[in-house]
Amino acid sequence: MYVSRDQIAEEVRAAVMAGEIEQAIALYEEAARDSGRPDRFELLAQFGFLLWQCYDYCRAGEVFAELQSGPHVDARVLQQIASLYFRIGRFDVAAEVMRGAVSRCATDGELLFQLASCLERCDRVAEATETAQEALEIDPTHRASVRLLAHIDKRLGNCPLAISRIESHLARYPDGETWALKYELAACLDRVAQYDRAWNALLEAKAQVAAISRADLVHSYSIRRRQGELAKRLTDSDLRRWHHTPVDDRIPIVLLAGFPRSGTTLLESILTAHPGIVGTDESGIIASQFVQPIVWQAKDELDALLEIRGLSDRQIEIGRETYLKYTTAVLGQSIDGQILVEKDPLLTCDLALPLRLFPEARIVMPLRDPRDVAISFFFTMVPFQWNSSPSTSIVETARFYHDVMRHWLLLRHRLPWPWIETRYEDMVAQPQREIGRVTEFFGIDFQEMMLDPSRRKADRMITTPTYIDVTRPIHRKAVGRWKHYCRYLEPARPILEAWAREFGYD
Amino acid sequence: MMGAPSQSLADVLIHNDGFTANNQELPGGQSYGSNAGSDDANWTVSVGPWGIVGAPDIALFWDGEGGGSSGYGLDTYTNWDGRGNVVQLDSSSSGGTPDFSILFSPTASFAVNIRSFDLDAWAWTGSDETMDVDWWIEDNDSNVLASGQWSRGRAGGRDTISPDVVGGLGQELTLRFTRLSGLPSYLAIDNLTFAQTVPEPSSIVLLLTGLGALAMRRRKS
Repeated sequence: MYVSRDQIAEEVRAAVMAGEIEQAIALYEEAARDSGRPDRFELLAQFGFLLWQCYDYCRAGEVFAELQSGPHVDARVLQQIASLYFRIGRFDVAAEVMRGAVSRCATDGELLFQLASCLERCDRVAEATETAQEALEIDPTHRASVRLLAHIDKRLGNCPLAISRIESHLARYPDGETWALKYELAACLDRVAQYDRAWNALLEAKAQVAAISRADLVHSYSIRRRQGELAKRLTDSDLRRWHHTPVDDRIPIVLLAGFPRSGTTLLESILTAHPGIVGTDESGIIASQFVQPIVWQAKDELDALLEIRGLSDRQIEIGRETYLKYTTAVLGQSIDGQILVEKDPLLTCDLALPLRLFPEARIVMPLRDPRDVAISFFFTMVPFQWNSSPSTSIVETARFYHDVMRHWLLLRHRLPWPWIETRYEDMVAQPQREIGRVTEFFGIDFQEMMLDPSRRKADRMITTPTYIDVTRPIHRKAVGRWKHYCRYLEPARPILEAWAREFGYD
Repeated sequence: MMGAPSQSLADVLIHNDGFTANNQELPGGQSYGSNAGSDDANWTVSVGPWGIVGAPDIALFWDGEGGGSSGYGLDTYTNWDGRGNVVQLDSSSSGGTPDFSILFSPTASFAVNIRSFDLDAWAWTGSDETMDVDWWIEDNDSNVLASGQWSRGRAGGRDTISPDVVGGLGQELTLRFTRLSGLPSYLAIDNLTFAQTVPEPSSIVLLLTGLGALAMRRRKS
């Protein structure tokens, strides 16, 4: 009996809602294997996307490869597949998929731009430049391509060219959504010490996105409220009991928390240059697979806490196995006795559940002058998610910092888990000493290779916004950056300076 | 909507201590106390757990049926019957049962929590009539979220009323008073306390159910 694609989608949806993931996969698989179906490739794409969502990247990759080889697959489907690989840092695969997309529609400027972005992330800068220029030849108004070219100029140390490129484009095409270009312009102006102009460009960009980001900011506050209320309900007895949860196989896991723009990417990158350490580079698995459904989606913080408290030892084991399965898929390698650095700066405000899952965890809390953190956050983040929407203003940024870091103050001296604080300023001033402190905390030796930037670059892809910075030699240029923006920080100073004092940054 | 009091909010306490003369228009006029993001001579703010200082995203609008020096029935008054500075609900030029109101308008991202206020009657002689005031808090559809009646005899005095009403996101609330009886010009409000608060996450649509949580929950059942 022929079952329409809509009917299959509905059955899959019902199976997913019922928690029957394997059944959902089987439904798509069976339909997609029917070579007589005219819509087979659409079903195959859906099958691949479902596998991907279930972190079965291996099987999803096989399905996507089959799709790529099919001549009738739409360029937009390939674009979607490339974006999946891009998100997990497989830029080389993403570039190849995008090449396939471009070959199907060579006159599409957007596809060319996306190919250029993938190439740039693969360090194929010349090819990226050429491809972005092709995109602009097709569509001279294409802002994203201009931004990418300016970004490449900046990366190559030619900020004046980047500034001139953006400004001439803005002069020629001043209308529409220019915020992304202005973000890049602000970053370039900052780099050439034109701080007032940088700030103004940034404010113009923020003004354009303010209306769009409003709902995200509401969402942000709601999540922060839930996080705060749950943390307040945690008792010392909870923490002690969770820390003594028996586990069959100990996972040498380190929770690398902090706050975005605190130097966490650099720290993880240095640490994972050690052959005995592997890092997740913000896979988001803990947040998306555990914290979101159990904490954020609970009726209230008490329900969330009751569920966490009520998890049986067997459930904990299942959760750990699931976490490891997904993490291994994202890493593309097994952990094999290496120390696993689970980096997610915003774990700071959601520590309860990871602590429940990992009684053997160690916690690393990177600190950085809150004023530098706020400036960096404000310059970098685009306010379209709950965790970036506070970048809509410097005051909201400071509030967000407060909301996150107060969790650490509340918990740090009550935690039975071993923890260490490490300062960005110490890491860039005396890297060997500071990284040595951290490796000693891990119980392993410091190795010289950890400070070799080429090693940091060679071993792994980095998906976070600072991907270029972390592959450069360690420098101190970002220390005290806030002083250039002192007067603009004024509205946020009461909050930030209280935290600066708290962390000894007076 | 009337909700349970939110916890640990960033409060604004309008204490009026900066008033320097009697029967003057409120500082800032009818928007007195609006967007209070830092301390002022007339109010103090506190930092809440979300880093919000005071209530920078809540505008106020004070209004009355008329009278007083302001023309809308709300004036400054210093050392009110020996109990410090207050906002006088001054309806000396209007008869009947005069109304006063304070409108709280949060931006779309926030809600207002009207926590408490003091009503105060200056002592009087002669008349045995009591000072009776109806107060209530309503939303824009005139739904009453909290209400009560307050009375004082000739000795005057003050009481703190704590309705602790929380509005919805971006929802305007109005605190209203009607003086049912008692001498005109003998009624005042002080120590208005309100807060800027944030929504419950249950009101937000979160789409994805985590597979990790699903795996654990299935093991339980």
